Amino acid sequence: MSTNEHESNHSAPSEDHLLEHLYDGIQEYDNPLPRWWLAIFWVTIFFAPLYILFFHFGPGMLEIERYDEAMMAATERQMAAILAMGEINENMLVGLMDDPSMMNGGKKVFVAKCATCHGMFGEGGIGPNLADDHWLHGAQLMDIYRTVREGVPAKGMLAWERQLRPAELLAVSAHVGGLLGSDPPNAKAAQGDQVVRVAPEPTAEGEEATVESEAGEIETTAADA
Amino acid sequence: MSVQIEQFSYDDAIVRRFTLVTFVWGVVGMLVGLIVALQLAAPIFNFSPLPWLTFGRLRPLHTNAVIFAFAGNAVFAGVYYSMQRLLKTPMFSKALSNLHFWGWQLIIVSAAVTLPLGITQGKEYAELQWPIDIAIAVVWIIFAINFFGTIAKRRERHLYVAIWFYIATIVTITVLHVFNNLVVPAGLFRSYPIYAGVQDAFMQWWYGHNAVGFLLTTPFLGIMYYFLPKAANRPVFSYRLSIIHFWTLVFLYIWAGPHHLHYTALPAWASTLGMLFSVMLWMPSWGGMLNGLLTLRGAWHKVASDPVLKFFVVAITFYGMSTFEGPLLSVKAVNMLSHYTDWTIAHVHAGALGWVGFLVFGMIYWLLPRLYQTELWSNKLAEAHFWLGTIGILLYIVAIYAAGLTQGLMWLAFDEEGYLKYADFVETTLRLIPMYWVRVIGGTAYLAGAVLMGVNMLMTWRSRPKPLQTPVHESPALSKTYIDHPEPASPLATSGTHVANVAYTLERFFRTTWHRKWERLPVKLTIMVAVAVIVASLFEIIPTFLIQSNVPTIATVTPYTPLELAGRDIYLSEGCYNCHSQMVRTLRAETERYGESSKAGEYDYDHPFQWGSRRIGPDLHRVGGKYPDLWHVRHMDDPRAITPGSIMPAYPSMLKTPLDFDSIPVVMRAHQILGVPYTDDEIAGGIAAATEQAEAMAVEVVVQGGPEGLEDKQIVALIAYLQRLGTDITKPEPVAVEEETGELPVEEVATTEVDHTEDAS
Repeated sequence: MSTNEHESNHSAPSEDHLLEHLYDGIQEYDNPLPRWWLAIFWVTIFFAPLYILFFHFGPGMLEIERYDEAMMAATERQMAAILAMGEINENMLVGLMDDPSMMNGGKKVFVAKCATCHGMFGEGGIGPNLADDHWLHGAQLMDIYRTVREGVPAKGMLAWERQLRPAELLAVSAHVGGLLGSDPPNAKAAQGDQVVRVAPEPTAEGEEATVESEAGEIETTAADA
Repeated sequence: MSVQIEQFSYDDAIVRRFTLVTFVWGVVGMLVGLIVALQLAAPIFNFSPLPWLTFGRLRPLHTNAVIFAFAGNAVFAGVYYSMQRLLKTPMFSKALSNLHFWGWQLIIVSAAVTLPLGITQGKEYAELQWPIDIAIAVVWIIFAINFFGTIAKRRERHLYVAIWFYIATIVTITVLHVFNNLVVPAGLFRSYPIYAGVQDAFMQWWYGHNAVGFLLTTPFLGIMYYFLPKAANRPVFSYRLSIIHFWTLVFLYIWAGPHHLHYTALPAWASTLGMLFSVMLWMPSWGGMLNGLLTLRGAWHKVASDPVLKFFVVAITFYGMSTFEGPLLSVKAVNMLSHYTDWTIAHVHAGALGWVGFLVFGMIYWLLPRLYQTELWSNKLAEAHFWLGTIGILLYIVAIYAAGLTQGLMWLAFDEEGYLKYADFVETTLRLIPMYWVRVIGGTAYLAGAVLMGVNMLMTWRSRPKPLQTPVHESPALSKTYIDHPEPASPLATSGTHVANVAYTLERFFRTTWHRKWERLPVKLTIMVAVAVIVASLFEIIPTFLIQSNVPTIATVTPYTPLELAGRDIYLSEGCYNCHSQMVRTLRAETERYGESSKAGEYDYDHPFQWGSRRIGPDLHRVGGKYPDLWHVRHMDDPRAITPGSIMPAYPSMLKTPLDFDSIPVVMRAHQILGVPYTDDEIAGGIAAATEQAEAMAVEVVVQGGPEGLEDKQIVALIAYLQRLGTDITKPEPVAVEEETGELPVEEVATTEVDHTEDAS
């Protein structure tokens, strides 16, 4: 473009050679192709075979390979998180309610996936109310976990194990468990039988006290919400 | 040789007419654009429960109006004005000119009627139904005959570069239009493309990308090459550059289509070719920009005072910007972020408002005094138009670039625990609303500018002399014989070594002295353009079609049930693809949000494909089974009752409008012709099967607590289709069933149908 600046000082650049072409008064200069233009054009042309060699026949990773790698890495990370959690049982689910990170994740999953049918606060809508003490498929945390995982296809409740990862299933089950007695606004009328949730058996390690106090906390936290 | 001087005069009446309709349809197209922009900012502007003015139906009207009516008529005005003068002859036939004009306007009117009625082929920018497509082909051929006839009787030996670009336009648009619109009709208002799934996607974007290339780029480059040097009164910067950038542009453009399909089920090699050719296209495109801007050397002082040149300079600048951005967006890593977002919309509007729009405005302001043989009524008003338009474009694109980046980044964002940061799609929509309002303001300014031009047109027309003069021109006829200027003899002719001779040949090739001869041989030039375009197309099309046998077929993928097929028709007709994709790309963020990535084999029966190009709402390929039927009923009736903040139009009429059961066999028959394995018995029992599935679904909706009486309404068919989407790959393999029973295939089909009903419930 430096030539351009230079030439714009003259109204008729002296080095330009005018061709004899004349179309309705339009003339054309015989200027060469700008060098930088030609250089970039050649670079883009030579880039093509190099790209193909590197990505299709060389060490470069194609989209699908990157995707598989990202999915593997994510699955491994999830598996590690699950293994770290130990065996899934009522005690373990109660324990999750103490884990702010899990409860936070559970709430996010609930808002994204469950709220459209069960309401933002579990008050019910297309699906039943999840915040009262009436239950269609069991009141225990393990019942909730099973219902979320396997769904109730006949009633339109999806088997979420197909869409959610294991940690998300656990987290959202714990979140639903924590809704009990939260008395959200616009609550849907109760469906199913009134069932009282039984606190889990103390584990062998003698965590009796902890478990009971946690069970008590459910109600307090829920009431606050 | 005796030279016979001939007298002739140009037909400017046709140019005046095309110029007028350019303005009229431009305002209509922009007005519809403004309405759809408002609809995205505030869904109340969808005017439901009326079904005709929803976003899904109006957006195709907007795109068709601005592309084919505004830009199309502007091209014709520019071509008819410039080619008569560049070839020193009136048009070949006044009758053909008039047929072309009225035919094209009739096509536009029929588009304006059919699109709001939901009559569509369901492919972007190729929405118009087959009878209109045939009319387009006929009118286009009339134009072509008139065009080449004019070339044949020209009095100018050589064709100027503008004419080459017009030739490329006529040839390529013909090929694109015909091959993307090959369909099997099912009545006057319905048809299904002969391609399915991946192949249809490939053909559609081969068409879609090159429609931009050969309807919004090449003819406007031709217009630039005529009107810019005329307005600036300066010679064109470089003849050689125009040759090189013309041929490279025409040849390379065709390959670039697959860059619209990165990370999809399209084979990786096609995606790579699309990207690499787009990158190569950068400099050929910039060749046009350079020849435009550098032609203004020594004329920049005129730009400050002449609104025509102001429009041209901004237009060419936007052309340069868009043609840099195009290759950038085609790079896979960038496309991952930009695709399906407003970034694409911003890119397109930089091109459409900036390049096409401003070039047209500049051209019209230059034409008005010449067409009406008087001064332009007000230069000041034209200046005002220029500034309003410029501010309008800037507001529009800055807001929409911001919207695109924002949403793209939000879709891909993970939190530190590995969950999607914005799992709820509507969160990413709500963030864009303020930017959508800025777009409305920008669009209003741009439209207001165009209205000012209308005032200027009217007043200039009123001050015309009556009657208008018809100037007579003179020129000698072309002699039958012509001797080309001899090529300079090689200095090495006798003594040079072999290598030196090769080098000299190459040097001559790059100096393009050979091209001068082609310019006086229009048939050869046209054939070479056709060869460039067709050969480049076949390089990609043939492997795409041969690969059909290589696309992994999925045993559990079966044809749609009759009811689902009827639902698919509603999906097409409502233009759902304008806001929803059906393609989960191979990105982890997409799998987390929507489900397993989409496979090529899942689309075997999709005539046409519905992958979409913009996600104003979420992807729908894995929506099947995600929500209960009742959720869909409530959501279609009032989306905001289910998803607060949703900007989807409400479709309450779908709960009341009866489903057209009678046409089901016709539609199935058309699909059978296309190779979908429906048996004659299935087609005969199509209505009964659809009724049965619809009744089962309606009962289920009532059980879930929903309204009664939906079994014969449109909504059940649409929900049946939605519930089917993307579910086939999770079905059990049918092979096992076959082996156990070893029964007739009829039973197998019956089993499959039961499966569908279960999925739907």
